[in-house]
Amino acid sequence: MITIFTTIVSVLTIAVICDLLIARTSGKRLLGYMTSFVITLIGLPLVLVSVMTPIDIFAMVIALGIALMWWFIYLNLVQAVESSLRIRMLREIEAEGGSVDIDKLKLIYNDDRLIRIRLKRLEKGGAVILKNGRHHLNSGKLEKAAHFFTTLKRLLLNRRSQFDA
Amino acid sequence: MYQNVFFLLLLSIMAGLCLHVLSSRRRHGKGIYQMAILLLNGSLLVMICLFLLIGIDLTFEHLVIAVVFIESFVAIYCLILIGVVNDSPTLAIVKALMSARPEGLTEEDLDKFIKAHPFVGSRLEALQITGDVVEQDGVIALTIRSQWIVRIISLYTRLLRIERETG
Repeated sequence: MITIFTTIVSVLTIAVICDLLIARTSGKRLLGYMTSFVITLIGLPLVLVSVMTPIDIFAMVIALGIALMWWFIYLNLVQAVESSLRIRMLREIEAEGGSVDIDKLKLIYNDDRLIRIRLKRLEKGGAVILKNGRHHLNSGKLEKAAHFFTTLKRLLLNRRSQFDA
Repeated sequence: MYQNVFFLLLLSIMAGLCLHVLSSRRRHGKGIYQMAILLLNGSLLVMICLFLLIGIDLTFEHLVIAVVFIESFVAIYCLILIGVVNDSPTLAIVKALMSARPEGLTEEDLDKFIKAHPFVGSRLEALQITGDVVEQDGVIALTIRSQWIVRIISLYTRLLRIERETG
């Protein structure tokens, strides 16, 4: 058991350090995430095979499951810090000295601005294309993600959107 | 050997997830996170008792691994639930674009979509509910907890040289 946890913690530490180094030196977040994921996915079984005697395939599957789940938790925390709307609003209030007039905050964060900024980012990344004044979706990955979350929302909450009446 | 733990976890997760889907649908999403924690941990406990009752060997070491695995699973399941319960603005745009096929989304459609999706209001409300901001006389202020959160985040973003951007 000690071997399993030591291996998980060691591999994840290396993965996180690599992610942070890539982010700091190149600013390419996606590359950092992918590198840390590959290190966890390939590095953990390799290290376990070399330290575990006898080799137990079920122990390896469980250890890999725990490591990937911890990596996913790390990824979510980092993503929330870097792009969550709630975190951005908290940082905006902090930048104003810890408190801000609600109307001023709504000037910076309003639905129109929020949606248009995101739409522009999607267009810049090629996921949305503008043709004859109409916006068209051009990303299979985003479509799959939307299907995944809509299916789960239907399954668990029996509705399609948070804003459904 | 960890074969028994593997099947213990598999059965616990399957039972816990099925119970959670049923409970969420029945309760219309009320207490969805609390129920996930309760049902997944409850399923593990019941499965451990069943395994021991029918004489399947489980050592203390096995139980520790099983508990760590389930708690990690509960954490990632709750993280996924956050995305399920709260619409992400980007995914909402994607869904609107998918619905507008094949003609595409016009500026008029976009205005209607923005009016129907009050993201900023819902996030501000959520921050108030979780006690991260307080509103008094039209002024929104951070609480002591959120001040600490923002300090830690600022440290992290400085480490990564991430610029603060709005929107």
